[in-house]
Amino acid sequence: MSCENCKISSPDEARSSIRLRTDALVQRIGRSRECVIPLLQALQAEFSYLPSDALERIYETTDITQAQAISVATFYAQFRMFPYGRHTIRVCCGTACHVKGANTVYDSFRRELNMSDDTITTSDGLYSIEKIACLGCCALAPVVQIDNKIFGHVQAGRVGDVLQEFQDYLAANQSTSSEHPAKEIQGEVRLGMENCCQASGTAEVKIALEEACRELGINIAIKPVSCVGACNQVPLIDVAMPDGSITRYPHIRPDEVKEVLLHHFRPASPFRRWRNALLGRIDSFHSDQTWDNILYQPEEERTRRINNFLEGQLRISTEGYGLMNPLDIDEYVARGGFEALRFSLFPKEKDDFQHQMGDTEREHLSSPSQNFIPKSRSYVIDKVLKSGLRGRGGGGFPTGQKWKMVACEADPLKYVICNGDEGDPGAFMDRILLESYPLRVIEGLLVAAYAVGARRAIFYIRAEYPQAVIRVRKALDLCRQRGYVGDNILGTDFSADVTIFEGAGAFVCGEETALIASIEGRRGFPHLRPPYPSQQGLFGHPTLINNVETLSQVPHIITHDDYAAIGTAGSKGTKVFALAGKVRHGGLIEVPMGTTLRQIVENIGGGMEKGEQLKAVQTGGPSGGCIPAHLCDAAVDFDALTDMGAIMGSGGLVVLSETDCMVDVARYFVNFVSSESCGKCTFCRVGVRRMLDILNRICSGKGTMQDIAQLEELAESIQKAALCGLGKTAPNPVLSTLRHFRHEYEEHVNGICRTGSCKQMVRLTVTDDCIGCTKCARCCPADAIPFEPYKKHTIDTELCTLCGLCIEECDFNAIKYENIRQ
Amino acid sequence: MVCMVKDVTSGQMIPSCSTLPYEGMRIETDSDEVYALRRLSLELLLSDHRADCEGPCSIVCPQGIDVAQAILHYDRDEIAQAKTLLEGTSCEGCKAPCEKACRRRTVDNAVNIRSILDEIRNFSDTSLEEKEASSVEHQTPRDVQSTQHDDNQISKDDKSESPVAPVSSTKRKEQFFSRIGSFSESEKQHMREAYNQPSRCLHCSCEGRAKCKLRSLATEASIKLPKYGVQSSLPFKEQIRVTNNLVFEPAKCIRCGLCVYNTDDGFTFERRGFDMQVIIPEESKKHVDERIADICPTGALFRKIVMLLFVLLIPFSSCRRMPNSSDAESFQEWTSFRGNASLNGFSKRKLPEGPTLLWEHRHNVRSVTSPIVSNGTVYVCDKHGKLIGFNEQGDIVSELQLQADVEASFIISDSVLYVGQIDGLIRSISLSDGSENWRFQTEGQIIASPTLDGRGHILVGSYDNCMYTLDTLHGQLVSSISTGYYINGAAALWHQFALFGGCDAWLRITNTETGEYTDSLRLDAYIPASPAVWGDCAYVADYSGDVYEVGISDGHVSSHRKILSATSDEGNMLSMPAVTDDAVYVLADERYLLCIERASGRIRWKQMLRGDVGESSPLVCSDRILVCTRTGIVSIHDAASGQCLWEYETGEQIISSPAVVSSRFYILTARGTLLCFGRQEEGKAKRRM
Repeated sequence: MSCENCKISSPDEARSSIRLRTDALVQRIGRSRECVIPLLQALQAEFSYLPSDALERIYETTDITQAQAISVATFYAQFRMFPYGRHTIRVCCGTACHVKGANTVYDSFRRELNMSDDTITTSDGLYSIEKIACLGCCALAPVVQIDNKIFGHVQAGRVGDVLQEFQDYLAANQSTSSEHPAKEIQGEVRLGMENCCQASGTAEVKIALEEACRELGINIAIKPVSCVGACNQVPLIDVAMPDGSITRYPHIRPDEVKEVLLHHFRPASPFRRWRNALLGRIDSFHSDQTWDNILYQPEEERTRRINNFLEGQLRISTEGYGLMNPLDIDEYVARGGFEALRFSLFPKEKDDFQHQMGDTEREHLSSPSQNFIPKSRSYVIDKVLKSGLRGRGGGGFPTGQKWKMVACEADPLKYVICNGDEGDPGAFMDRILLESYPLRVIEGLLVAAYAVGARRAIFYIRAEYPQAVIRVRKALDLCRQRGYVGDNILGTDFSADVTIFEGAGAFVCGEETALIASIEGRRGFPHLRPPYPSQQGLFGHPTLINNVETLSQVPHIITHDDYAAIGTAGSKGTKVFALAGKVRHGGLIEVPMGTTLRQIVENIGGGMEKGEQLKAVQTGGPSGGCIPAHLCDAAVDFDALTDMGAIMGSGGLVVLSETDCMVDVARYFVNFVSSESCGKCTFCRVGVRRMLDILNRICSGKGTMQDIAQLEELAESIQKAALCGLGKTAPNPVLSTLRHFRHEYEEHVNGICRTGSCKQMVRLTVTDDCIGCTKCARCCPADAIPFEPYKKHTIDTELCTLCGLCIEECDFNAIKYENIRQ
Repeated sequence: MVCMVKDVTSGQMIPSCSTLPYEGMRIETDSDEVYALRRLSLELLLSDHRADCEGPCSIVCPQGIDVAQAILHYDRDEIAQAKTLLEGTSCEGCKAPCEKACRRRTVDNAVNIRSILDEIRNFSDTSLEEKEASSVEHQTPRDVQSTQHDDNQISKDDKSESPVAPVSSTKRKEQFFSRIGSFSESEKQHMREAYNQPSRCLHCSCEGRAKCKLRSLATEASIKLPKYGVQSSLPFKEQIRVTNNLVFEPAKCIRCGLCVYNTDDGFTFERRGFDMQVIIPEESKKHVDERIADICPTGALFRKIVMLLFVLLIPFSSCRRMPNSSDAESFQEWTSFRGNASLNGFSKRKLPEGPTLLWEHRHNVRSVTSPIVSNGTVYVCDKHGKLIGFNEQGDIVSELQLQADVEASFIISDSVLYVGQIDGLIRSISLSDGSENWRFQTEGQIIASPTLDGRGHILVGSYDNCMYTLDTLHGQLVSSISTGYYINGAAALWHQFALFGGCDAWLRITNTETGEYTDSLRLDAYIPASPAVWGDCAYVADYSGDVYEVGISDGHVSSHRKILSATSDEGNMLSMPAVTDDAVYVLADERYLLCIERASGRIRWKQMLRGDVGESSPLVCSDRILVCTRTGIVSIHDAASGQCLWEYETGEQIISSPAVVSSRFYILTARGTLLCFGRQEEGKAKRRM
């Protein structure tokens, strides 16, 4: 096996080089058994895979044995044992991407790259392709990532363009762009630079902005800011003038940038002003293109949608959207950042607080059950308790109680873990929060650490979010410089050491006990609770594990008293949702608990895409369920969703329309859980797989009524008997669709899939509306439609791959899915 | 997760194996809900368990021949053992449903089972073969009869769609048989290449089925067909040699992880979810303890002991005399006090020539039970219930305190100890961890060895006058037969029938399957020991010293005669006869070893022993007889002439019977001294070391 990066020909030399490089990594990371995941990650970063020579060296020089390394490396999806091509194409198969045809996109890439059935790398070693659980860019579905570049709204018929664009991008990146010199700042242009914004062209807009500024001689600050959440309106720039006025330009194209800048700012030198005016005039003679410019759209028309989208939202976790630079700590402090930490740490303010409290509350605080929680801390916990905050990770356990349990433990060494292993396909809240508001999450984590008496805090961030890791790492460095993280924070005796642990790609690690196992360097096997992590967690010490979003709500709770007033009786505060699917305006939204699904879809989301009918909303990812349209008027909170057979989950909302097959959706989730099951308990390992077998049968038209009954029985049993949360909730998508859409299952048994989603049950046919325009014949990637102008086209079902490109291409709506068994 | 229970307080279903108990916990263990989940769990495990419990050929054989086992012996060149299995059977006239059921048939062509069986039967040996031929002739009428009867059954089978369906004999009605579905093309390819030995047999039968908990639980839950089909990602019969004796078959693995958690960095999991597998890295194979096979609840990990003995067995494959004991023997094992369930005291093992004492261990606590050899360990039990295990070098490797007095010999089967105690308890104890599987209380003391019938039952007689048949897995009472007085001896097995005597002087015959009494015979005096069975004849001695030959046919006494009458008042017999195909050997008349010809009933020879005879029974090993007297003299005699070939004076009383394993034998004296005798060369080699 030859290594990509080293240019040494002799195998012996290659081996010794690998060994030397491995030794250097071991030196840097450590030799103990719990280092195994970081070590393997470093190996993979170094060699692009795990070379056997490097692993041999690890067994020789560290405490890690072959058995442990195999067990860990094969458990986590991130690791691979064989080299990949130079570039890796990752096709996102999240829920939103799935319903928008990710599988077809995947197949198209394989066809485009001439890959045979069982290979994943092209013969020239240039590209490797893989499916990935979720990239967390659901509003741009279907999404494809090539190396670090993300492409949104990829159409199956346009994958060639995507590859070309990627090659252009590579070529462009080789020329270095120079930083423009800082001069007097005339104003500010703000744009989101999250992973998903970059994917939809904001990166190009930024380059255009920089070039335009250089060319026009305009001195403005181009400021990357936190996410607005309006993923449907990107690329979006805000032009902020010194007088405070802001003009918003959604869907801006790179070629429009120059004119927009000219409209707002005057070039610095008179010569340039004259030259620009002249060139502009000549341009306008040449074409009328400039009149298309976004600049000339009326203000109302331009921003109505985005305003609708933002209306009805309430920002707590995402406070400061579109405004703050995620990594500007001064700005964060100026806007009230670290107030909550200060408020928790300083006794004087606390006295005031205690003074304000009534007698009953004081008694409550000194009750014997929490005798050894110092009073200075118990008030922080009490504040969280009273706020009614419930864990946002999915379970909805009261956060205050969790804190109290950990605080009560006598062990001097405690851990606090921020759970950023957001694995649900169709959810990207945690990623946006970590990328856009890292300082707020850090503050929440510090408050939690202080309240429970922990000195060590860990960010657990999943592997698919490299940008989040980078931002949090930078934010932590900033905090360390300012004394917010480290020893003696703000001059007090409170010290907290915060580190980052990168997850390695296992959905089950979102489960607390599995997460702990993975930090300890083991397979992510959950175990039965008790013992709870709050009693015996990481390395046997009491451990508090909170979700990213939970922690991001904490600073507000500490500094404000109004939190409990927001939301419903059982669920307080706001909830961040990732709105995606067949809705017109997807994106990241934050709404008060109790908002109805219909409000979210109709008002914020702007209704259904392409005027389709709302069929259901899928909440909570693979652990959740599908809420049918007629129940969408119910207020969204933890309890209401559970009653409807779904769960809040981490907050993915995938909107499904009449063109989505509910059986296929159920199968999609069961397939997901089946591939993410850890394999420890029988019910999840084999049971979910058998559910998938049954669903596959039903989706291929081979199911029977007995299968439905068996499926239901199996699902109910797994719900009762599986070991961990993943397994217990795995049947939810099936049970909720069976509950609300049983007739679809029965139709499938009778050979009917109305939506054409179940490919094995349908074929494509051409209706009499066909005029013989040959458009379909030209676009068909499988040559299944003969080129016969002016004749009604035919489709060779043997060759047809059911990719559906012809349906999109046909202007006369003449190609339709037809059930084979009719 | 077949251990699901319900926590009544929380309403949660929990696996009991990994739940921490708490104060005031309330658990529900037997409700429909709990059973339904356990059953589902089993069904799910079985749906991913791609293996045959028994070869389809064995299942469909109308004569009940363990065809698969016979072919396994054949392939290992253990013709002698294969022949034993086929004793008294014939394929003549049979339409060979075995070949129709053969899995190889779906790969290419079925194994030529019939011709292989015939080849085994006709395997020609030395001149002594002739005698055997006559005995076969003797049995012919019955065979013809049974074959005719079977013809009907086969034609019925032919009509049925599934050739693998278990036949409707009562014997197999309840056992679970796993299914494997069909083979993939790659599997077929693999089989064509890998199974190219002369027989081409795939050896579908599971070598670990006796210890398989999955099978026994499925049987208990009366699961017939796997509800969710059998769809495994792993190929059928792919075997990995872990160590020389330890074999791992991934398709049978249920991923319980016991082997992973019980070896430090030995076995490990690979991948996750449904594709998760147990593997063993090359590096770890070196330090795997073979005993891990005992922990595996399925046949996925098993020890291939017979393979190791391959070389030792070759001399025996040309063995001249075939015993028609139905038990397939492994020469390394001596699992009950007479070596087999027929209690006939015959073994085809060879005693070492001019044996020397290899080692001895003095315990100095009275011991009356016989030594038992299992998995390379010799176990003895003293009167106070201390069970001690020795390895082949005589080092103590295990100790277990039963905390009760023990006078009855015990048996060990698949690392499970079954022992009857003076306090009336019969217990099943797992030797791997010392945990008790079950216990059953009888109303009187137990001084006789239990007997395993090989069909999941254990028989034990007690001083409460009852002969109990229990289920070996859970110790549940299957049936009990009440007699008139104490039962002193063990039950001897002949096919599905058990024979036992008691202090009421009746020899009784029962059917172990139905638990019913089929016949009985009153002898002249009470029966202190057990009957010995050979073919359809049983030999039993009563307290007065008379020895009877009792003919048995289909569970009934067909004939009986006295072949030895007591010659003096002192001639009481406490020991059992040893039987071969032509002679019976008894210890009688205080100090004599007698050889009685079975056919004529005349005494062939009579040899005086040194010292008084007692409870220890003689043992025939091929052409030698091993005898221990109460006075403590161990001697070996030539079976043909009775001539004493070797003698050893232990100086201590001997009550128990000897145990013989390949080229070694063990004697336990009543003072608890265990003596190991073996070949001279071995002894010398040891001394040199």
